[in-house]
Amino acid sequence: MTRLAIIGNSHAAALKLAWDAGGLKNAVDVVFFAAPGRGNVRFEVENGALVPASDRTRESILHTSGAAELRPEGFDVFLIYGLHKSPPLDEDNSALSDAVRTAAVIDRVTRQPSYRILTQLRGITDKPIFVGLSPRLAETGDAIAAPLMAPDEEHALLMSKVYGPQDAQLVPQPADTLAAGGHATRGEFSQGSQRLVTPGRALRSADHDESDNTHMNADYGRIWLTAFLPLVSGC
Amino acid sequence: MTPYDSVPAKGFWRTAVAEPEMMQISGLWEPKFRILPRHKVSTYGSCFAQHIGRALDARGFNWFRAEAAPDGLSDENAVRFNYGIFSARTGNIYTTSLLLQWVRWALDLDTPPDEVWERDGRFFDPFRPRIEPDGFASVDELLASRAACLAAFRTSIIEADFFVFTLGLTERWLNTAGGYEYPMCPGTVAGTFDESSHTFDNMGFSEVLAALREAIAEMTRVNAKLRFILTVSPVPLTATNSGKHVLVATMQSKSILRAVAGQLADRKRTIDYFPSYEIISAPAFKGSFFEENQRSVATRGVNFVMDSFFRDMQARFAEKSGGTAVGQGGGKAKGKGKRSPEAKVRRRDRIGQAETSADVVCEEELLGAFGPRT
Repeated sequence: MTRLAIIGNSHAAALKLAWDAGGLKNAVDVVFFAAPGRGNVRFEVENGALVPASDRTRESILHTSGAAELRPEGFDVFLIYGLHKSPPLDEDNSALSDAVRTAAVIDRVTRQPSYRILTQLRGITDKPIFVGLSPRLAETGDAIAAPLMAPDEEHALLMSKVYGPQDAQLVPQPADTLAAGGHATRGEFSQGSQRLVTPGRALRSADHDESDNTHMNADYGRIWLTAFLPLVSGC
Repeated sequence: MTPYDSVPAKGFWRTAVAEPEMMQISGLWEPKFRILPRHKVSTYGSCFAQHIGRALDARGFNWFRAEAAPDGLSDENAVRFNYGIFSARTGNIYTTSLLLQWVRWALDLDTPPDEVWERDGRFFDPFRPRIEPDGFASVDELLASRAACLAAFRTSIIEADFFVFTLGLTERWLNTAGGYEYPMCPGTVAGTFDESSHTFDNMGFSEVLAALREAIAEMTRVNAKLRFILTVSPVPLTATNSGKHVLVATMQSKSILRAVAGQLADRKRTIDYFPSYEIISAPAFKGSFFEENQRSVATRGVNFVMDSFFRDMQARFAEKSGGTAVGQGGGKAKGKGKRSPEAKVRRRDRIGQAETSADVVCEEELLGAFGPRT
């Protein structure tokens, strides 16, 4: 059985809901180290472990994982999921130079908690690390302006410049969840998304607001895990 | 009785300059206009003008960025690619004639020429030679970027409440055949100098005045509510092609620019003048705001200038309202430009980490690399 640690924020709720619903064929034992928010999900490295750097993170991690810290020796493979700001849909980048686009694509991930945690984790383990960025924003019906880069091109750039050097694998968002040429998530996946709850309650709580197009539902989580889990089986 | 009997203390050198401590010299500006946090303020001009936008931003005013960096671009890369320097990515606009050229292009009164500079397979915009540090990948990419800049510049005229312009130079380089102006001598930043194609010119008072007058008229034509604040850069010339000693050339240039700004402000109710030049350069301040090279304005000088700007505005308008007039911070940015992370109320203009203003993007400083080595 492959022992998988998923480090994430509120976006991990979609994966957790899908996981709990069952039916995903795998030989993986999953532990979630999740806390709500983005900027306030912070870890420090102490004695070869990732230790929550704030009380809030500590409480959430303890609640979701049962552990006060993440010790890499307890797992075979890691997924850092979410902890990243999805690019806006209304930004017109059509007149940008290639140099600016490239810099922005790279900056958009390297300045996020996801990347910081990746470098911290890579500093304490050589085991496989996968990164799943936050879902692209769900389409709203408004026209989507020119994004920075085509998804395949963006993936290749990030692997080359960001994740490859960290010996990590960037997991692309599954194609059947995408709309608008891959720049947005299909609208139905943001309906009925649920919050990552605070400690003391089950990891399921009130739905996100209807206007929330950043968080995805359990259907999305199932599709994502279905695509992802075969990558880690056998690690 | 003479008229001087009723002149206030600020009107006498002894009471206003000689007797106060240097840093207590104040009240140099009585602003015509009240800038509120909701007002969109566009800023352009020479290197010194960069400080104005940042100071406005830091104090919760609406520094209008009509050409914002893409979401997520780091601060370092934003500066590298010249975002957040001026209200659009025009690069430095040193002369009033260059301002007029930009205005005419943005308002479709003229068309930019086809000239593009190429070096090692990369392409450089002659009118924004450092806007992309390594040039553009193609001519099409260059032209698309310039078009976006012109659209943003136009927006920053049409939608702004205030247009702040810092006059920098009288010396300029022109394309001889086309008559258009370059921000820098070809060959200094990019391009190749060709004396058969490029002409040096040092504008006099009437030319500087005429160009600025026309630029303002065109901008007012498309935005009747637009008000102008002129300043003169206190930064001496890095180099002069006039044949004169650079100190003499500097004084001539700055004198002309100061006279133009003053005349327009005195005669036009829609134009004001802010005395940043006097604050930095006047003998009363003993050159204390310059760095050791006696040219770069030290951070403490920038801070003193901007403190004076906001203090004098506070003094002028707080009396009328009975409360505070300047931004208290947190004013929302409106318009197309997005507020950077620095737009929260913190004193970004007070750069505590360094005593130099080396972070100013200044193409004109590159001329120093062409001088004789000591």
